[in-house]
Amino acid sequence: MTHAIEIDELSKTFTVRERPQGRFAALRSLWHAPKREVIAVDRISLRIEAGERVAFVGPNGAGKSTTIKMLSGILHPTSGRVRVAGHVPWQERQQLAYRIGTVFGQRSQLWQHLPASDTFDLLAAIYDQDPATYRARRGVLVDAFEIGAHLHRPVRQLSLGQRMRCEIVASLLHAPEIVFLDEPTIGLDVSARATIRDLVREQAERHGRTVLLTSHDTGDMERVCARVIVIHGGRILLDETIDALRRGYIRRKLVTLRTVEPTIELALAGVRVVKRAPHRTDLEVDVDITPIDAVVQAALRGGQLNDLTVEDPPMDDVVQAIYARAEADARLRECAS
Amino acid sequence: MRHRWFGRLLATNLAASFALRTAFWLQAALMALNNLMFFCFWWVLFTRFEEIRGWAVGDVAVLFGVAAAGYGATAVLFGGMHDLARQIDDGELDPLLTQPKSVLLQAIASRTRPDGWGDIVSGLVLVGISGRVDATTIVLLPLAIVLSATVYASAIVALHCTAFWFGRTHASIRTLSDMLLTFSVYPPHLFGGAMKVLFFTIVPAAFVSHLPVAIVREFSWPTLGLALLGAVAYGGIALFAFHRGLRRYESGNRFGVRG
Amino acid sequence: MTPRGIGNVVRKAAVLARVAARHRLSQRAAAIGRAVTYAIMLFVFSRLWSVIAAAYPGTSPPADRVLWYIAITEWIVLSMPQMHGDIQDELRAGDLLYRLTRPIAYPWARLGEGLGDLVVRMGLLGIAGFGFAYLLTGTVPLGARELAWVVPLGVLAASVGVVFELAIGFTSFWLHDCRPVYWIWQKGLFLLGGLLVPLSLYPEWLRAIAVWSPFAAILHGCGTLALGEGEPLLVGLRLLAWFAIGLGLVALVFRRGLAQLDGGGG
Repeated sequence: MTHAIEIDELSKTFTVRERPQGRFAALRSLWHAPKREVIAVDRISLRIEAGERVAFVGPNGAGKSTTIKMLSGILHPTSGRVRVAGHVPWQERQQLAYRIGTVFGQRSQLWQHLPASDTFDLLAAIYDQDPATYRARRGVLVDAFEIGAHLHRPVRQLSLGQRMRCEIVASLLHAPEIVFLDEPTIGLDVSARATIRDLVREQAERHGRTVLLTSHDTGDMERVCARVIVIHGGRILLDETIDALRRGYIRRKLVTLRTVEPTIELALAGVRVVKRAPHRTDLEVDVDITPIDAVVQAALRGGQLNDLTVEDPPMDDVVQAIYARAEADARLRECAS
Repeated sequence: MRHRWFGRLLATNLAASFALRTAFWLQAALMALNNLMFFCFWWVLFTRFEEIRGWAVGDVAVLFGVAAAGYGATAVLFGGMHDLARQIDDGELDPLLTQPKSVLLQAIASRTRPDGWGDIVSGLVLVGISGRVDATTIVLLPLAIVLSATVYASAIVALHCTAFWFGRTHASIRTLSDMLLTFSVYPPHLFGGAMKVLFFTIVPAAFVSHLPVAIVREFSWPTLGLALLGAVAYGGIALFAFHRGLRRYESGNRFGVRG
Repeated sequence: MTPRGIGNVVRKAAVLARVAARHRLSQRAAAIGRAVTYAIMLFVFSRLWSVIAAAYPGTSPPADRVLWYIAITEWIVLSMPQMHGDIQDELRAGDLLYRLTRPIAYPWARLGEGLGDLVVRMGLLGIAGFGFAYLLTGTVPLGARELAWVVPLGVLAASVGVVFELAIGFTSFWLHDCRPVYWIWQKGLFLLGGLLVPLSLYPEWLRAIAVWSPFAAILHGCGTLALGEGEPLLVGLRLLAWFAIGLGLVALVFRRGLAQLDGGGG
């Protein structure tokens, strides 16, 4: 079976021109502009099946956007092999275009001075859509994303959230098999983000679309996707399902104690006090060292409790921990070499 | 049918620009006025000196008129052309690359400029009152305008393509675009041999106005042939430059930008 | 306005002028572009007037004087900064109201900036223009006296232009877009100011109208120094008169504009 997306040893190196510093810098740049090679993507390989929803998560500069651009045909790689829906993106760009949809959070594909509905009609013409099919599909999408009221104002007058919903509808109008979303929720407020995440997931599930989402927001990852690929420094650090990630990395729990006494002391290994406030103590517990029930019992012995909560750390922390470990490893390697 | 989308885009852009009525009429009218005021300079000059090296006010009128109409046509059809360098530099070609149609056409047709209509109308008026065009030669006028517009658009596109390699160099691009336009509206015989060479090469004023006007005033097959050749050649250069530039854009090594 | 008050204003405006001048020097690419445009214009017109002189020998004024005339008028026009757009933008963005809290009235602050900008542009373009004109004509038809007057009068003339441009910018208190007004002003300047053709060559009726406009004072007045028919003192006096009128206009428009802004409800 062919996969929706196949990537083998994909690499991308950028040549960055450095501006010389110091005196006479401008003059010097006339004949000597030192170049630096930046490895944005370093031999990544992966397979994505049709219908999967995958999140590419990583800090800024990790290589996520670069990878998406290579998959959608905007950038061509330095080396490696890529097949998207059976096509080589940068060579068969126009054929691939009919089968993929893209949303770039920081770039719009809507004509800003026109109402969204005009853009949709134009895209229907660009993608050679049959008018009846287009109209039906458009009706469904406009309802689902609730943009009916905004269709007739120029796009630049819409709020960011409204605009992003229009962008996503625009990308789905030609019923693409694969959808690339590059930072779709960037700059949006919490409720707008939640709406978009749910809509995207629902659309993808209903039509069996393959979704590749990049973000540095782990909420996107959790709500939309089932599989997470953590990228850092151009390499894949982790490629797991969300559940496996949670299970594998959550060895800490956050415990909040509210006490009658102003403070409480717990001398237990693996328990770290994160915050102290009058009548409130926040703890971080490494459950590999000290199981939760031991902590609870120690708390009950140590004082009178008004309230006690035990929570998983936010996924953000999990991912930060993964990056931190990767950076530490990288530094070790540097020292060793 | 593959190019139906372009007609669609054009129609939509025009509708949007007509919808902003006051702005539309104002810009169009001001541009027309602008051209006529500039032409007043020539009128003043020619009231003092009846003819200058065989050229009278009517000759300048038809030269200016054809150039203006051609320029106006490019502003209406390909209004995004003067913004191309910025689009390239800001990475705005990305979404266009994921779509199945010509990136160049989409980029330059992304908007329409209402002042272009002012150029077209004032250009046609000037040609009309020039007295250098009669019923037989008037049929050649659309052809001349098309040739002029093609070469002008190609030259501007090629110029903007330098942004693929050198980034945002707006001041230079603006200066060179103005230079092309300037030399297209002054009588060519003011200039000597060296300049003539320039007009057939780097600053294609000959193909933008001198030859198209010659076709209208005194048709000859060689002139037509040369003008067509120029249009095809410059069109080819523009397409080639953009194609090459797009390859470089896709390598991501655009000036100063990182993925 | 007491003498000391005026002195204060002038001093503060001078500081702003210096800041603007420094900023201007850092925008080299645009400056070079302007110089190139200048060079091309002069080149084209030197060709035109050579051809005219050859076809009509003995016309007055002679071709090289006309070219220096154009060099001067273009020098003034190209040096004037375009401030009306910025003023309009500031007004729209509401920034203008913040600037009112600064200890110098907005119009004079703007004027100071404009003049600083102007002086640097004139310096650079003046050198370029002098060089191009000399290269193209091979002579300098201005006598020592005219040469001495050209720079101060040119700066004064451009300043008058700047003052009127300020007033135009302030029409954006009422108008949706002041740019059309500027356009009309600019075309008036070109045509009635005799940008490319000395007024003496104009049809009589047009010339009679033009000389009453500020445009002729700004461009043609200074240009006449190159034609050998200029009376520097008269030119200077006319310019000062228009400068005063312009200042009055700016004050009036600005005050009226502020009043209607408050009245309109922010």
